[in-house]
Amino acid sequence: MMRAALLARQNPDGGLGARPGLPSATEPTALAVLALSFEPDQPDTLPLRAWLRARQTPEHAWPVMAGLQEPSWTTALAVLALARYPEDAPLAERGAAWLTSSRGKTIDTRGGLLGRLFGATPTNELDGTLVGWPWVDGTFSWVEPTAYALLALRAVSPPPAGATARIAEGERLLLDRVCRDGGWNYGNRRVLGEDLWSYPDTTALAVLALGRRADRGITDRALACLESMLTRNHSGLATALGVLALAAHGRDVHALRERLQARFEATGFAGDSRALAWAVLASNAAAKPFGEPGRA
Amino acid sequence: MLERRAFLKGALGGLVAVSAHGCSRPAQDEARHDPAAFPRPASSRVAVLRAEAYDRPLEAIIRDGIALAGAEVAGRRVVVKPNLVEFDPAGVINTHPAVIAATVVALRRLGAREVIVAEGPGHRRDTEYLLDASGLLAVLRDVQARYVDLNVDAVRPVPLRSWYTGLGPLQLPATVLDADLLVSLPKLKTHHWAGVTLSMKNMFGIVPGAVYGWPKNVLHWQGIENSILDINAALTMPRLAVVDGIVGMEGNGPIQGSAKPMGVLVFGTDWVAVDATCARLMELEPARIDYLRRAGTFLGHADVAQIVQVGEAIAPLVRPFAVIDSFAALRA
Repeated sequence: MMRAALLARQNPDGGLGARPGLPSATEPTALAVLALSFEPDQPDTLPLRAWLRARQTPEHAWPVMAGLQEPSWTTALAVLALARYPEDAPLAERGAAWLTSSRGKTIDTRGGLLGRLFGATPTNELDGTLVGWPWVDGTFSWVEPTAYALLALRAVSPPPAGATARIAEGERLLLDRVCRDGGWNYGNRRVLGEDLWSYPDTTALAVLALGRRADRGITDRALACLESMLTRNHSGLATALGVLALAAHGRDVHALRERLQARFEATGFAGDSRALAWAVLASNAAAKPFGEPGRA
Repeated sequence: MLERRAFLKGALGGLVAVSAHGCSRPAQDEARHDPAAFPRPASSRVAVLRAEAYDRPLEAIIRDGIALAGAEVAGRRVVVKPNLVEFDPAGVINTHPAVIAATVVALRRLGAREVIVAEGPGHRRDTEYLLDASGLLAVLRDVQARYVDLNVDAVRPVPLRSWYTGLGPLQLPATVLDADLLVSLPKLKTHHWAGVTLSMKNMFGIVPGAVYGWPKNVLHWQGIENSILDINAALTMPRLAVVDGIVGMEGNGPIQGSAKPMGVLVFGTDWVAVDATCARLMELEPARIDYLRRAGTFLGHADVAQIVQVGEAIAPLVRPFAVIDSFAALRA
């Protein structure tokens, strides 16, 4: 049912919009390709991939949506999707090279340390010198685009020059941003002396991006945090990403998969194509979309 | 040795200037707009009406407020933009769903051709969760209003009419650009980077996250106050503000502050005048709020002498809002 709904959302140009009726966009289109690529009967993804192929920019990146030209954070998702198909691998490799050159801006947090000596409440408590990936070039590194970039760069073989060091620093950045409750907020863990709370979607993505490269204790705390959040947040996006992260670490997700299907029937995930694509992937028990968590 | 108070002021200013949100505090005072492009009326009307609680009838109050503000509603395609940024079951972060529902119904009764509720949440990308948890989804069903997620809406380029951020044309949502009347429906709150967040700062939510990142990160790097000015200056459609001040937020807003019962709704078509009036209700000095001071030179009226106050008198309703230390100077 979810898979049929996903395929039914294709626009005449072959791509998928973020919601039904919206112009095709890279994120939902790439996630649909990724999800469908793991289906055992191999549904036709050619129109979706053709849409992606046609949108690769001269810099070998992808824009956010049809009609825009600027390279964007969605490049990681296009790389992740196209890397699944040997005939599209060259596009994915060039996209990965662009991704390797995309860097989040750093900030100087030394003022915070001096401020603490004088008893001032620090604005942020994180290492602002670590470089991950931004939503938009020229801005700060955040959890979600960094997680996507890590997953994408690992999906391309061989990795582009410089990717190994970028991946290692991206992992350090994610580990630096862990919230007190063990999960991940969108980017900060503490602002103006207040702990920020974690979100299930960003926590699941960070867990997937780190695989088993994080200490077992960090992963266990993150998974416990995720399971706790999923008792309160039943959205399609949270549940689907939660299933993927928990299943990657061997947790029993049978009940969550059933809940995901029931939720879709009840709410249609509020029309969110991205959630629907992740849900199709999460419902496929045979799929291991990001490899074995222990494999670097 | 550096005097402690002076150091803290400098250190905190610097931290806010380049925080992990990338907030750069603007120091520019020079006008970066063409004054001729922003004609202003001699005065602006702002209505302050009492509304004691969310479980009391609100629709008639809101209809009265819109009428007092002088907004033209009949026959228009109206986009209502609430503040829906995060969810905390113990908090008062968002515009209350009861106010949103009552506003939708009031606009329809005033003859609106269509009323759409639209927001691009600044923190959460999980819109389904946010709508559900905040109670907005149930309310939208009750009043049968369509919701548009502005973070992923189709976009069109809009040329800037002021140049404080240095950004080029803004990609803004088609849903907003096609509105005949744009209603800013914010919560009355303090804001730990901008001092306050009211009807003008609420427009950060129309900037699509898919294009500009979360939490609307490009705008933070260009300076929050600069961005407030440029976004609001770029909007040319008729506008109305309805500020949810029934329960506001003080302290470390806009997310982690404390509830501040005020029992008011504030209305006006000049968002600068509305925000200045709200600041006065919070016992904060509008002229010390950077974006309001600058907006008051071209986008509307912040000076009380140019604001025609209708409805309730302000003085009995003023309650001092706690602000974080770095904004202590905003106190009236």
